[in-house]
Amino acid sequence: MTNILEVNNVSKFFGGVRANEEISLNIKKGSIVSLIGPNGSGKTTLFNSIVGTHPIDSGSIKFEEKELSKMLVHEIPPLGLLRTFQQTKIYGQMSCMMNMKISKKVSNSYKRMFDKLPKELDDEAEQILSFVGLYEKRHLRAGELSFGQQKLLELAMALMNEPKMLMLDEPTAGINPTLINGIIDRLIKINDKYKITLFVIEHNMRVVMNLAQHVFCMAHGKMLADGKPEEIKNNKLVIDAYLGAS
Amino acid sequence: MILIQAPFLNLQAILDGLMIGAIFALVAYGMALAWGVMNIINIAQGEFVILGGYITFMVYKLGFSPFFGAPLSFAFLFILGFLLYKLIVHRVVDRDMFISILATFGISIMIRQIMNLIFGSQVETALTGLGTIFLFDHNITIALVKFSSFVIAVAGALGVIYFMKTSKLGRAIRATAQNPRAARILGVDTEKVYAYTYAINAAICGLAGSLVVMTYTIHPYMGLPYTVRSFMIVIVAGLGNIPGVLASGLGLGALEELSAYAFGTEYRIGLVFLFLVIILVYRSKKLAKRREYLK
Amino acid sequence: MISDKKELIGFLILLFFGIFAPIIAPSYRVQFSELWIFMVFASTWNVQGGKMGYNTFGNIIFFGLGMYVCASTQIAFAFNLSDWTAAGGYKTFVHSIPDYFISLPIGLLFAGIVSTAVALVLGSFMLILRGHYFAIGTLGLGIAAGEFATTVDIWGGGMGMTVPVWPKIDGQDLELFFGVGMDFFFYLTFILFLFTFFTLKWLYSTRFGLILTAIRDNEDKAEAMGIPTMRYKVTGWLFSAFFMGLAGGLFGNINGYIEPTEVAFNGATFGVYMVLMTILGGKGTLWGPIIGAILFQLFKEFFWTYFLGWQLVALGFLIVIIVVFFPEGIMGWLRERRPEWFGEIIDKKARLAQVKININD
Repeated sequence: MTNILEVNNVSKFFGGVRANEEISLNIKKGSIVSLIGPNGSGKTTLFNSIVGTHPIDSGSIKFEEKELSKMLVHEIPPLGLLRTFQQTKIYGQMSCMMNMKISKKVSNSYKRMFDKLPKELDDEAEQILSFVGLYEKRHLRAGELSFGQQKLLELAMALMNEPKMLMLDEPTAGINPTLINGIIDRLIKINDKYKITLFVIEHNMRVVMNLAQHVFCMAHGKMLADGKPEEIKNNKLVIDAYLGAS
Repeated sequence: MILIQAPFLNLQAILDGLMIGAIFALVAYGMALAWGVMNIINIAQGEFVILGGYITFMVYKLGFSPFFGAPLSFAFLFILGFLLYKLIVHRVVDRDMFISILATFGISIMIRQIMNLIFGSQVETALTGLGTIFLFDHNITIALVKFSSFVIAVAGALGVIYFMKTSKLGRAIRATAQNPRAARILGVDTEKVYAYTYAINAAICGLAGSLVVMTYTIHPYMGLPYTVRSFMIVIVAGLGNIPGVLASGLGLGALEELSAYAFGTEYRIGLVFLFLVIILVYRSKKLAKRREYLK
Repeated sequence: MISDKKELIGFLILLFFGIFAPIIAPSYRVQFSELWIFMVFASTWNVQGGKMGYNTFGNIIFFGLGMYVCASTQIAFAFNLSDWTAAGGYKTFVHSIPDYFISLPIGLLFAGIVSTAVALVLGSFMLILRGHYFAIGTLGLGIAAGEFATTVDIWGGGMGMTVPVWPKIDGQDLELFFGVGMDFFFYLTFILFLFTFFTLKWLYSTRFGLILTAIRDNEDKAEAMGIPTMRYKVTGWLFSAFFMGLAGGLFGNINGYIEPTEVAFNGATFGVYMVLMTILGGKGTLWGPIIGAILFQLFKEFFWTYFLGWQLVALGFLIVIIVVFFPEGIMGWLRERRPEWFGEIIDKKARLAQVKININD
């Protein structure tokens, strides 16, 4: 099993704050991995570091052997790595269908940028929207969706882009609890059927236990522990971090 | 090159620049106030300045010393600013910044054209009768009117800053600037704060305008360069950085005078706008290295 | 867009005026030509301001540049440009008929090309700026362009220059099939408008158009999804610059003379008009700018006739009113009333529908 993502001693400081300090982790291709840790431990910062939202201060990040740390944000998705946002980012004034159609992975060459959107795109978009449960709302403006629905739209848009690996920032936050089982099921299906590696930041431990094959725990900007979900659940350091003892 | 060969001319340019820079700094401080408290960029800033100039000019035309016009300009623009807030600006405060830019742009066009109709489109100045002092064996001249306007501008800026620090309204304004919602919850009447902030900004511009007409010239269409200068100063110094705003104002004045001297006065206004672009692009490129952008 | 039938009706109305206006209302030829130019102003501004969300005050640069380049080319084709400017222009030099009709299209072509090239250079650094920084930065550029144009002696400096005059035969204006100079340029500007309209209509129907709105709605998201936004932003500006350049070239010929700050790079009037017209009509749509241009031209003629002297004050007032009370414009107002015309399905069912994830899918 090869590593699809290799993070090596990545550090990121904001002024005096050590948001990420010497973080290292590897993610095996085709796995589902979760990143947990109390608020402020640097999880989203790590995501931002990986996808190039900000430059890192030291370390290396390799996706399928390619070094990401010097790349710009828009150069990374074509390699097959996508992320979703904690505070959803969608195209608010456009319909869900348009959000989907514009998310398809296509060439941005001068020759291709003026292509018309093919009809097949509609079918594909509808299919994926149906998969996440948003079919009925597909013609509404994305900005009119509730927070949880926008999270699902983001997921759908990401799937439209055919990624090899998906980094999800709190995918179940804001989702109606009755739907969470459905989401977990969907994520497992995405991983199993479409072979998409998942790297998921989560606060909901039930989701982590049911979803993840491997768990990384961060605290205070450092990697605290990692292992199988059951091990992490009982890890004293992790428990202390969450309860604020350390 | 000219800049190197004539040290006295350079020094002259720098001194003149610092003196006019104080006026720029004053106007910039006002813009920073409106921007920081209400999140609007007042495009009519320059027009407020020129209008202040015309008020003082009228005082001068009536036979009085223009210095008496300064408090009058201040008061008149204060009232005008307050009225404009109540009539127009309060409707655009909570909205997209471009809306406030366009609305204040519309106000600037109205004021500009009304001034043109009332005062005519010739260039005016108000003579103070102050003399000149000569330094370094007549190589440096300091027009006393420029010097006194420098003093007044600095005094005016310090006066407003003192007011902001000590008075109840001043503290309410600063609180609102930091967190309007919290200020509201704690009982601050934000509408009142906004109205007074806009009025104070206009008054500051009025004062600056009275100094401009005394030391230089005014013309109905000379407003926009002042708006642009204050915008430049604020983005170079940063919104909350008052000493920075004052220093940048002085610096810009000196830079302008030196450039006008080096390239020719007909390029002066064009250079002001070009500086704006250069500063913006430079700042953006620097931020882009950190993969950020000017917000 | 409104349903195709309504669009067709609107287009036929425009076409009617585009063909017959010089015949039924000859004294308004210049106003109509101006109207077509205004439609180009607003439609091209809309590409940045409406569709992409980048409010620019700098598109006037391409207009002014096109004006100067076209006229310079027309003049330089037959004479020496600095001689022309120094000696009083067409009073001293008169184009022969072949010279006039060959230099004009060449001039227009150069106007388009130079404007586009300048947009490429400017865009490479201006389009890094966002929001109000872009707005004020382009405002600065636009005004600076006018100021610097006053120092270019070969273009007549602050006094400006005249453009080639319509050829005469035996003292009478040359008459072509459809009329004389003003009629000729009326049709040329209408053709320019058609060219612009159909190009933008096509542009908006492609993926490019959708990306523009994506950049407007969430530029960070677009980048996070792999879209190289800079490339699209600059290319969009190239389109606007090209048509503005052509518009400038034609306008210079209609106006008879070019003056740097009052005619070519007049940010305070033309620069603001294009923004106002688009907002008035409804930004982000294809027809909004067109409707806005028509309404604005009507307002303008009304103000200039009945409020002469106060027309610019009225203009400022109009800006305030529109921006404060009607920021969504006519099309926005229509969208509220008749969303189905815009392809928006306000399905109450859709609004109320719950998310349904079928675990058996």
